[in-house]
Amino acid sequence: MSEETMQSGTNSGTTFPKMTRETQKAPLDPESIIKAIRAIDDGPKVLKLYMEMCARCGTCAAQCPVYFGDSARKYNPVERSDLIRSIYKKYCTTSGKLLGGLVGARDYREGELEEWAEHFYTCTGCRRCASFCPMGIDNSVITRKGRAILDAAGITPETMSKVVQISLDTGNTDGATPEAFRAAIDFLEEEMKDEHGIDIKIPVDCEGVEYFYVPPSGDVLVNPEATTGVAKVFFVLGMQDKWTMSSRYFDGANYGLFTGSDADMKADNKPYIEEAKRLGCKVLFMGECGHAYRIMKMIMEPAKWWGDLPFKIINCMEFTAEKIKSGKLQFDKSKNPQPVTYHDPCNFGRSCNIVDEPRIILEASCQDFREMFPNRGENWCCGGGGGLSAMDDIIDFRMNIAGKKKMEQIRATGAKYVAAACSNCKRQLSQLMEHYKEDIAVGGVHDMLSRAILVNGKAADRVSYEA
Amino acid sequence: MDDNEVSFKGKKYKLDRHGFLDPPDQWDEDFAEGIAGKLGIHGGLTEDHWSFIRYLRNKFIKEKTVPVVVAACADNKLRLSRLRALFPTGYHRGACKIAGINFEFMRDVNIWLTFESIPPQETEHEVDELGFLKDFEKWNERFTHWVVRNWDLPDGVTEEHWKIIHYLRDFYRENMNIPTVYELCKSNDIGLGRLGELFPRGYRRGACRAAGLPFFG
Repeated sequence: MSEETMQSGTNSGTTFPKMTRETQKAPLDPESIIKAIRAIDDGPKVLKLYMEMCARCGTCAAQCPVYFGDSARKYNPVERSDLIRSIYKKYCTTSGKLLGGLVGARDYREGELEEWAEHFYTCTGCRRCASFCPMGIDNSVITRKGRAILDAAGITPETMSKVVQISLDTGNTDGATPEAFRAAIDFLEEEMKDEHGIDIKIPVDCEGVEYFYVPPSGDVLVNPEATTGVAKVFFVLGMQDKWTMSSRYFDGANYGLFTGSDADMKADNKPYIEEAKRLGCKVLFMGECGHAYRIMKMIMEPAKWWGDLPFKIINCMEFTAEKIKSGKLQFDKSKNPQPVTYHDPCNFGRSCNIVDEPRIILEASCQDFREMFPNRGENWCCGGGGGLSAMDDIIDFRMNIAGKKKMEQIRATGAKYVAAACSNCKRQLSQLMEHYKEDIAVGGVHDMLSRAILVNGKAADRVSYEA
Repeated sequence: MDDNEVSFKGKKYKLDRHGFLDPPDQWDEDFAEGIAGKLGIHGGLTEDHWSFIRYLRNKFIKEKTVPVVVAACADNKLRLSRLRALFPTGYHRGACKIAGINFEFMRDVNIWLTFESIPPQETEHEVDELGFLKDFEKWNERFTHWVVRNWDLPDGVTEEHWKIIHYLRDFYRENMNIPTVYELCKSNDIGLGRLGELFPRGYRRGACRAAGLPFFG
């Protein structure tokens, strides 16, 4: 293979995300970029280590879903991380200062930043490389740093900056008003009344209750079965008046994680903590949203962004699985006869170790549960991680390159329903099925539970209408 | 998934890469009826379909918006399962597509609108693992429509298709066997090339399967 084709890749039909260009943010001069890279020296310590210790062995490339889809040089995680690493070496390491190019150090090239956008937005941030790297290097951290530098210079995909803005303005990424949310909840309550013939409540804005449920907004407004599933669990347990949702803060999605902007991530997170405190809940009950849970549990809480919290943070799947194990929930499995598989969202599987809980729920509520391999912490990314799933201008890249491995995995199971506890995964997966013309449904975990759980001894009556 | 075109009743319509009508001002009732046939609605659009389509178009054209599925169902007093029965490919990929709302517009209104998880198009028929009809006698035209749903037939199932399908069914009923592909072509006065165009998935896995015959290996 000639150098030329190695550089440009084999079948890259990539179109790159449309970027916003906010000129009021920091200028693009090399000094400020270099300054941002030198700032890595001040921490976090782990990032500093990642800068220094890569052995360039290539293990990460073999484990990367993007590199699997297209083995172009630009998709190699090492190449991507080296964009920052090489400049860091030049300015911050003794060997780099003295030996320069011999140890892979180089100076910043003017105008390079525009190219970075493509590189850092073709990483799904799935962290699969990190679990195989012999040094433990997590390339997603470097990717996020790269995105942060881009964001500070005002270069962020249009879709993402729009989502961040809507979320900061309205508290949810749908831009829905509290009235619209209440109307949706009323509708879901009627829906459940139809299914079970009894009133199952979804409490809204109740103060002094134990659990404050924060799903991704999609689980209320677009694919609402996950929320009805949670409501049914509480009902069956006799805990109907022990939980609540908030009419203003009902969307855990936080795209600050994906744009790399810590300020946006914190600003988006803060109202949720305040709302939880205002409601006086004892448990912040996160829904089926991988990155929302990860930000709350793995980033916000340990880093004490808002000090010590007066509540615990758990995930709805942990809660439900525990109740299933103790025999408090019963199911009619015949409601879900089709083969079902579970896709581990990277943020749940690899980053939060929520792996057995969804399986307990699915095995309890479905007749034919099948594993895909590899799974759990070693699962392949759907190809839409790191917020890429929301961007339709790179759909060719997501379908043909990043999602290729996932499609193979799902096909191999023969499943007719893929459950994923993550809205981003669900969007990517349903587009994959459409793209590859597969008749496989995509949905959540509590969706399956909602169809099979026995409420007063009876599973949901799903009226099948004559079409 | 390139830009593509469909034609219904001799009129051509441009679609975007996601299969949505674009530009949206091409919309007319023939488009709605035509595209519905490709979206799991066989036997034409009923008044129930139309009232939901009119509601969506009203929102789209007059109010310049698209409601989320839960709001649309609440406004129309429709249960989610009823909507699913009316539009088997879903709200966004079914109803909105038929109503001629383009993908870009929907995404600009609310990016999560395009977020729905699609149910697979199920058939009322019992099929084996290869997708062949289990009981020859239970065949109906809906089964054929289900089989061809992702064949990308430019004009859907045409008279030419039905002629061959009925020929195959009659032949099987009499002989408990299938004709050779040459017999079929000769009896129907059709070339092999044309047969391949009509049934892009081949003779046994295409034509015979659509005709509801069991699998002949």
